[in-house]
Amino acid sequence: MITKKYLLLFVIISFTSTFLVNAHGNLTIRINKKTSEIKLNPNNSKLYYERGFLYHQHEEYDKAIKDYKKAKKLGFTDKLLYYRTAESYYVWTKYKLALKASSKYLEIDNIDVKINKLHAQILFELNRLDEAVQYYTLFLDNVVDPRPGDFVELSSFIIASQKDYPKAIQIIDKGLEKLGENVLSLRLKKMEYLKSSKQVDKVIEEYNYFILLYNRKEFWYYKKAKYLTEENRLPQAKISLQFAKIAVDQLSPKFKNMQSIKKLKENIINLEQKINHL
Amino acid sequence: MKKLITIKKLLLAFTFIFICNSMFSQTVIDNENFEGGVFAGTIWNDGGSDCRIINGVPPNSNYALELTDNSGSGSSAYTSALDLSTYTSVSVTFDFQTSGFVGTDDFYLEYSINGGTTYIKIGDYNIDASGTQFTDGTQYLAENITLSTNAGFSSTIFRFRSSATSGPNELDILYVDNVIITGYTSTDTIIDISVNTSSDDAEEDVIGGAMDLTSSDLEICDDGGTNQYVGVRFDNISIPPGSTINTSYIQFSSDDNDTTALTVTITGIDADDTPTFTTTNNNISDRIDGDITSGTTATVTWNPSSWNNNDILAAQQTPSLNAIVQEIVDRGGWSLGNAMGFVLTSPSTNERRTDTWDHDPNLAPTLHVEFTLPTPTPTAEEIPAGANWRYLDDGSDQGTAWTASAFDDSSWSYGIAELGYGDTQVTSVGFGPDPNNKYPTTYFRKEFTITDHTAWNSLDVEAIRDDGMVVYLNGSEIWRDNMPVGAINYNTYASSPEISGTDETTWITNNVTASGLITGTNVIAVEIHQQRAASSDISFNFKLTPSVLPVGAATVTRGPYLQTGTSSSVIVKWSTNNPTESIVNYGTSLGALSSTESDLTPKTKHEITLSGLTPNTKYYYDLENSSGVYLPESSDMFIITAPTIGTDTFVRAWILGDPGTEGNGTYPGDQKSVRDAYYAYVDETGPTGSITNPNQTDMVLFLGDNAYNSGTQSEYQAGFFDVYDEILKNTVAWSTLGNHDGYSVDFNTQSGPYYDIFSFPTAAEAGGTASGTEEYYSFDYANIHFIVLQSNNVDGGGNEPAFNTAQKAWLTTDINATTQDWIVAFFHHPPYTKGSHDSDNAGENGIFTMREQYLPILEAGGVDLVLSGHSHSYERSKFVKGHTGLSGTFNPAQTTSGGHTVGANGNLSGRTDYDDLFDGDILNDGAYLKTDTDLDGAVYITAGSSGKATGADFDGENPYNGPSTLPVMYYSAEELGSTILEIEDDGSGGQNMNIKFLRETGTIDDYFTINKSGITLSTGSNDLDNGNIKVFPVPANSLLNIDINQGENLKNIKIYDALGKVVKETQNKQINVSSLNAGLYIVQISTDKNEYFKNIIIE
Repeated sequence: MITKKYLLLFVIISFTSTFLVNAHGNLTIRINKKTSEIKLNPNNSKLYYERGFLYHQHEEYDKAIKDYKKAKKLGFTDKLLYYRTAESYYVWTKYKLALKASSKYLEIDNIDVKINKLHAQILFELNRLDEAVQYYTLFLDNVVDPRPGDFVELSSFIIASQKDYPKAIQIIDKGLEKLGENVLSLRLKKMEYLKSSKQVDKVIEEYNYFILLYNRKEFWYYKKAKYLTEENRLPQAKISLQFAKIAVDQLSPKFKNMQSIKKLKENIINLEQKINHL
Repeated sequence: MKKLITIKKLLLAFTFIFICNSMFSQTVIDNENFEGGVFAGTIWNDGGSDCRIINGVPPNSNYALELTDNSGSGSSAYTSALDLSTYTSVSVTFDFQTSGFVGTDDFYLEYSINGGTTYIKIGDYNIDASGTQFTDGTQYLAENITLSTNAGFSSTIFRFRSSATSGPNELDILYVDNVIITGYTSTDTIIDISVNTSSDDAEEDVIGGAMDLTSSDLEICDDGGTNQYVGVRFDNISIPPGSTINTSYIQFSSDDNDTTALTVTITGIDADDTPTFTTTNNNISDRIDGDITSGTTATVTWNPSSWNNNDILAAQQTPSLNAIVQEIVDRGGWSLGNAMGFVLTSPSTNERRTDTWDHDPNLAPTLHVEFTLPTPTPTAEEIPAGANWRYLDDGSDQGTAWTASAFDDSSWSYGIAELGYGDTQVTSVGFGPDPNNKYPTTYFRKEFTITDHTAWNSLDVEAIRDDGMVVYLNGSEIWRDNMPVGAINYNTYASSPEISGTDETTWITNNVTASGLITGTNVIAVEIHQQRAASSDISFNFKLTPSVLPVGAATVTRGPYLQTGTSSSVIVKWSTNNPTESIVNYGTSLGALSSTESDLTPKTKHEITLSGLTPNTKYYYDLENSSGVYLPESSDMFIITAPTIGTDTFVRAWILGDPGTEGNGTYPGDQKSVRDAYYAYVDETGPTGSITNPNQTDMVLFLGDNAYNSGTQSEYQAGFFDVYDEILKNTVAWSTLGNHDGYSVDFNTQSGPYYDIFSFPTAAEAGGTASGTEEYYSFDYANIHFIVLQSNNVDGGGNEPAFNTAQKAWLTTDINATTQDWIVAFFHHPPYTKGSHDSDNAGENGIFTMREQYLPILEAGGVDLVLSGHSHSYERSKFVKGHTGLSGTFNPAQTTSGGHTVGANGNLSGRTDYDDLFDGDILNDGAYLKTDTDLDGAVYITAGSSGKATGADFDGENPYNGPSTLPVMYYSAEELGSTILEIEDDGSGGQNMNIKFLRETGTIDDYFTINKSGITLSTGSNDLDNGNIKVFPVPANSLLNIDINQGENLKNIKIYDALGKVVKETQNKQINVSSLNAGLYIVQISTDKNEYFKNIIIE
């Protein structure tokens, strides 16, 4: 006899199983299709390699690695196998195994752009920071179309390994030069490093940069005031807070009543009270 | 027979050679006299029961190898595998003597290069007249057989095998002794050219001159009593002028057993480039008797020995033809790639019968030549295939200087192409000492002269490259194939996959600009890169021919299409079949395209930015190159610039989600039926009838998965450009990246078709905040702010990807910086869906993250509409806010009651009026409302059914249309269709955003409106009088006055600019501000009791 308790458990298991089977929709279909192909060609190493990558995309890294190993055993020799293996191990947080695979790839091809990035990321996780910086620099020196995040990541490696803020800022500046001086994520990161290295005047310059850049300045005035307060530059903080209030006042009603602005108003009042009590 | 042909084919590839007049270095690989008495310690192995080493036997009365009778491999002895790949030839010298061999008894020397699976005979010793004849019981010393070798001989096994048929009481014994294996390395270039067409081996009846071009055999030189001339011709001979011929002969394949004596005279055809034979009588003899051409002065006499059928051995080789070949090559008109011919004559009635090309191309006559190359000289006006190239194969780092025309390459080696190793190259190059770690890069250079470079505007180039290649003309890169993008150096490997199969011998072609060509001597420099260190081969051959692209040669193969349109600029992109200049002529009326933008560097993928345009203006355009207009102006080729940012005007956007099923041919017709329904909708003459502003589409928004299955270039062509070409040439397209588009891109390097095809703003070129990447960006159009997010890479398997952090930070700043009236966001993965994807399924990459992390930012910033695809259905939400959990958490009560719907009708249809299309079954319960004081609420639409409608599971019915079982949704349909966004004036100072779901049938199955009041901005007032203090006048331009309450005393006044800098400080109540720049300032007034801040405007 099935008790209600077991029936409930059965329902939960069935529900969960349905989730797993249907997870990632199209990817699941593609994996099933590849599995069918493998059944027809069980010794085709490339099929295992391809299914392994689908498993990786499906975040089933154990299965991905198993397929990559099978592909290698069956004679798949393309260097990408090592890249994919390293990639799966890396995301799976098995960094030593990832490093083994990425190193193998580098033995075959040490110039390929993206392997240097992955290798650097693995080394970073293994706390081999100087090497991580070295490989990431190689990547960034050669990649044609870098993302803003690439400059951010290298700079964070530099901070972690050397605490060298000027060098990290230099990397960010290089990104700004390459991708455009207004790229937000880079400017924010630069400000973060300037703050960490206590370059207060330069931080203020950065806030002023944003204030001049945007038509809506209320958030930037507030953030500047908050920073100046933290740095105990209260007269300047007061002025910036006043500008924040004015900027809010100048907004049209539809913006003034947005959740984000309502929250900002609260923050301004709180900060003003804080300053007055300092 | 099949097996025989296979063996013959192999023999042609690894032909015997005679070593004469050539420059060789030699290495004794093994010298074995068997005096050890056992196989152990030698390279030789016991083949079986009829093999042993025995003492006191012939041929030298000491130890020797003994093979008995014929028991297959049991009657053989074989060597261990030898690496002969570094030699150009190897000789095997041995002593032998037989005992008891009679009749057809014979023995062989054979080799195998496949581990002993198959053996190829290179010594065929016969007791009878066939093969190399010998006499039983006779001592033979220092027999020598030579084999030409190459990189394919890295694992070679030799074996002696007895094939003596033993009779009753008969013992047949072969003794072999003093076996010496010697490797030779020749500096010669060796070529083997076979007859390559039916008419290049022919016979001519001596009496009457009748020609036969298609016979299956060549009878030299008598065919059943008919005496005949035999002609053979070899084309595309890679011997440059100035070469010295060291070895040459023709190798025939026997087609009969022939034993009778015969003397043949071989004469060369004394012509620079003798043409193929024809059926005209006497066409062979006329080439040596002066009627067409004469014969060479040099002739060769050949007395062929007896031969067996089906052999391609020494007996079937002519004597040395060096004198003849040299005489032809020395002709003044001889050049690389020409043809040469030979005529065989004999008065004898005896014959030797050989195979022809018509019998089997694999058995056709072959000309073997070994020659010493002259120092390379520039070729004239071209580089032919098989040219004499300088090369450097020492694995060194040559930097970039080696590509320059002035570079001194005189110390480099040289050789005839095809150059390489591991294949059937003409010239073998080195790969270093370690076969498992071959040099990644081999360098090649070739000079050629051009009489007048102005006569050419393009270069036709072809190459055989294995694996990757970069080509430079006079130091500038002109072609790159199978190599990564970016900087290349001597350690760079070629891209994956490795070149293999027929790709190793296929000529790839390209046409490049001749802009780098100069009159005089030019240099082509090529670097060939291995794909991996242990790869077995590289290959290189190259052709260059200057050419002139005729007028109108360029035709458009893709586009034109428009990108990143703003109120003053637009990008025009297109592709052409040939490289050509990029010129766009444009103007505000047809026939008057008075403005031009151009990029004169020839290319096939074109991108031109038109700037300085007037807002909201129609410009016509055409496409031109230096030869003229090749895509003329027309009424449907135009650009309408965006209105000035902030303008409230009518706007229509066409929205397509997951449309690209034509990309891989699935769901045929579905994508186009959706398209055609929209075209009919906007067509004022179409079936939809009267609509507001017909024929106006201001933009097309693609929600991702634009080309199935993987977003490759060919899939984009079929599923995107070929489908939407009509609208893309006059309407700006914007897109977000879908998961299928992501299959063919490399996010790490931002490369691949999606990045190649689209050009989106990265530096806020179209408004918004600079993101630095095309993956996420924003743009302003009229009074709408569009935010485009990338939802593919927001999950990180437990750790938040840096990408996600950066994108969220950008979004927060961007949405809080806009001053636009409307905010529309789109990304691929839908926050809510029960279509082909399930937003309750935690395994759905992207969906949870977008809902949980991005929706709060969007809603706090005032987003009005969010569009997604991914699920192949149409699902439209109610007017909601704050629903970031699973569907079970949705509470339809209004937000004021703690629920998720917004406003009095937020849980209803959002429809402003009754719609005839709905037969009254759905209520018209009023638009969703946003006012200046109530700004919450957004509608979420999953609109991924523009190419197929599949996979939905709304309630188990299929198809299902109507109120959704997903609580947040108002309407769901598993139906094909597209979505239309229209913004129009509401007649009351506000605007309506009307959204329609247009089915492929032309019906509108869902619609709703968001009404927003207060679009016309009111001017705020500055109240500077708070009772205690008064600042006036505001705005000020000369004197600013401060009045202070009588109970307080002024201490100080400071005026700050917008950056917080003090620009004035005074204790006076009247301040001269005329020197200040116009703008906003803050006045800080300090009294003995209070501190006041007032903002002022200086004009």
